[in-house]
Amino acid sequence: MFRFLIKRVLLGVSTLFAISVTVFALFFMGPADPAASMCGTKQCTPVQHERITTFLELDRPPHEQYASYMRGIFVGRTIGGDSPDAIECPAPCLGINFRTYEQVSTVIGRTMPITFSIVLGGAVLYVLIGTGLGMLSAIKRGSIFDRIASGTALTFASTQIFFIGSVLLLVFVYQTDLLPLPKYVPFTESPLGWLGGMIVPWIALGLINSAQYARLSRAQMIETLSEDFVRTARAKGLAIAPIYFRHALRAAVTPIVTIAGLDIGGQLGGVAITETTFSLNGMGRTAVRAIDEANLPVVMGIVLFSAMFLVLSTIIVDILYSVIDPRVKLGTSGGH
Amino acid sequence: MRKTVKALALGAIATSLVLTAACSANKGTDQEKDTAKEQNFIVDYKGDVKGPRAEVAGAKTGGTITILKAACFEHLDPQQIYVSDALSYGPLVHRSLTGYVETGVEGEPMKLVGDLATNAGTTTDNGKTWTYTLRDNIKFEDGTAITSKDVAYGIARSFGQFGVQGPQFLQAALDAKFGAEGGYAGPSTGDLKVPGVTTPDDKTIKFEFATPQVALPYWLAFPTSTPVPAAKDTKEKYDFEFVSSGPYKRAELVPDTRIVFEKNPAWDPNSDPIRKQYVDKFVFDCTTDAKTQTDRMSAANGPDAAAIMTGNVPPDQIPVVKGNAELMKRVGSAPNQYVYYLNINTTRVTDVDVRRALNYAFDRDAYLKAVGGYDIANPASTITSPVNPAYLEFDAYPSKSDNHGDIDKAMKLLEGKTVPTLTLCTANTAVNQKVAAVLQESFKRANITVTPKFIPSGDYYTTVGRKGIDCDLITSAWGQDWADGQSVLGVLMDGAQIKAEGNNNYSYFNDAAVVAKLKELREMADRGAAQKGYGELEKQIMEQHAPLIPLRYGRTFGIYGPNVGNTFLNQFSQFDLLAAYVK
Repeated sequence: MFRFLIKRVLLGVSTLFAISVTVFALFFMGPADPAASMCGTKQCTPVQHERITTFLELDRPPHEQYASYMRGIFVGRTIGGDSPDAIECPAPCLGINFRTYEQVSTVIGRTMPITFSIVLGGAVLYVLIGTGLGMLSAIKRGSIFDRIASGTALTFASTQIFFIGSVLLLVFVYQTDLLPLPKYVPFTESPLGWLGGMIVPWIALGLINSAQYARLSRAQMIETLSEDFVRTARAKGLAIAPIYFRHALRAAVTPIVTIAGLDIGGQLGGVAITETTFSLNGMGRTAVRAIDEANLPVVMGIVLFSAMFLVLSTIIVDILYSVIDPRVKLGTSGGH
Repeated sequence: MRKTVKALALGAIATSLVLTAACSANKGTDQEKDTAKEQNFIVDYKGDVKGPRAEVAGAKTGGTITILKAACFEHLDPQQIYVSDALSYGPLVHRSLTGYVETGVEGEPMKLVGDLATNAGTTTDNGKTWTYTLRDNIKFEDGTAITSKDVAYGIARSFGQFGVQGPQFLQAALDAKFGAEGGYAGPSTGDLKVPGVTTPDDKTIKFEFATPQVALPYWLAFPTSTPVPAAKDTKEKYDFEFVSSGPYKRAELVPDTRIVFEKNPAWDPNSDPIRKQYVDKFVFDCTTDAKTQTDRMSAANGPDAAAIMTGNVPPDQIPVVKGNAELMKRVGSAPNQYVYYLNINTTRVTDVDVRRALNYAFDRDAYLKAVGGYDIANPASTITSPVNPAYLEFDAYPSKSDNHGDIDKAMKLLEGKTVPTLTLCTANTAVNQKVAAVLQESFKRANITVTPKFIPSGDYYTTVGRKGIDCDLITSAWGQDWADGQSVLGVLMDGAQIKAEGNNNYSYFNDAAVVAKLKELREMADRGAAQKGYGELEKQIMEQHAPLIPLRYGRTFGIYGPNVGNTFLNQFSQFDLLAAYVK
């Protein structure tokens, strides 16, 4: 297990390194001139432009900027060089927002709980509903319930979050006031307020994403139920519930954990469309705006942070495999 | 006023500032008619306007107004403010030396008055030296008296790193080396002495310029002149930690998310002729895009009944809103500060009759439909927006009644002439591609062939701003920086300002008589009186030289809640809140 972890962490670090280099390179290959957009006037003189360029360290070669950026993450740095207006950015310094001078770590600290609340709450809903529906459909295979559940799941899976979200908002929030307006209230401030503010995005995410889990778990369950060990269990006269839940579900759930891990890991990097639909300024929406403004430090910070979560989630999924399925052993050359 | 980077890419609407509806005439065939009215503009040099601001009939105190915004203010650091939303709502917390009184009452002129100062400015040498005296009992939110040194410190900040995004007119006029090596670079350098600014005592601040600067009262209405206590200047953090001098102060500020202003008890209404303090709280919800704003304002449930939207209703939602008669009672719709042009490069299209013919041949109806319809734009016939006090209503090249132009007149002007193929330069955007097709069709009717040349948006104005550019027709847009004809004609039609690069005069129009007249108007000390002259000059320019085709006036279309009292579209095309109340 320890060897496995070390290997995966090293792989994750090299992935993050590759991503950071790529984002930096893309930024410098693009035509963006952040200094020009910061020099907020038609009368911007070359000297003013140069001052801003120097202040933001944009005049240094890309590799130096990159090195400075990476150093800042571990030991902090001073942005603005010799300028009397230089800004201290303590570790972990992910740079400053070019437009507001706010530290990127502060931006991430503010937007991350919003994205996490949306994603994790939504995930609980869609994994539970999806897997539950899928299992029941498999058990009642061919029944009316199975057909209705499969049809409904397919219908919701065919829609988009901006459509379902807009309908939910229009009908249940704006027109009838039955559900509360989506907004982010920190859990520590008011658990009920947090729940109320997130319920509509969760429902929307649950409706759309539960479909694939329902279909996947149904297929897995049907396959598992036809396996020899299930038949043996039945032949031995084991009760139905332990057969389904202790034996069949456990075997069927492995691919679901894989998909859920990747889904959640990816979504933690920002669910821009969901955040936009529900007017929540999480990491995704913030990243989109930063890209629009050629605000490299914000883009870099969010991309690295998101990638970190994806890497982490894959490691967690691998660990979960061994817990769920004893046949999988980590750190060996394949289980049996 | 600078717009967003995106907007910059779309047009040289890079800067602007406007006056509230002076007059407009919607010439759309089936559109609602805007009220056309003459609106005078008054600059209160004498200090007749004093605090408190007159009570609003029926106004109540208390309640909360919610402001729905797609994003939070780019800046609330006063010296960094230059965007219309912050110029509209920043004055709730920031006062400046001068400011505007707007009432939204039809026929009542807008006034440029003393805000912290007792008047709009006193000059005895035609604008070279100006003196301002501060009003009594003006205080920061902590109860400390505001002195002229705090005002001077604020102005000093505007020269430094944390002032680069604000307007730069005052700084450039005060310091000949501004923006160059050796120029004053702000208080962080340890030097608090702003060139040309002195504070003989705590109540007086003086400005001295090398040449007359009659626009100073306008420049000081920007928050460039908002006082900042030096001891509380937190530099880059001042955006979030500003010290209030207005009737409200910061109660909560979550960047990119939510801002709450609450009453500032240190503010004395008797010292302020511009603002009231009816509302308990203003809550800025900075996460709602225009579509969501429209949906929420249409339903106006709960707190949204006392809310306003700051975006425009998206074009696809306008028909739904217009179909609801009750909702339309809560709609604010008026031309805004932006005017869009097709400039005719006068150095290449030298025959004035060809330029006139192009004006006649332009199919305004097809153009307006291509850019989104009459609800988001008004047909234009002038260089100056109807919201500017210099606006004079005229149409030098009237269309036939169908608004498709007058091809007969165009053909007559072109008789016996051969017009070479004209190159149309425009930024490469989806809308401009449609516009280019409309323009090609328009001029083809007069046997003029146009070839479009699409330039990447990010480089567009840099490219067409180069003298000698090989474009015959150039699209552009402009909004004035301050409410004065100088900020439009003085920029767009002054041939004396043409340089090698960075031009705003995309017609490259240079006429000696016009240059002389603009100089005369520019130097008139009484700006209220100068405005009429700009209108007359503009008419003369269009009739005699036809250097451009006015394409359209931008148009604002927003909704406010049923419980918001005394709001109207202000000079920045935002719902005014300086004397609003909750019903």
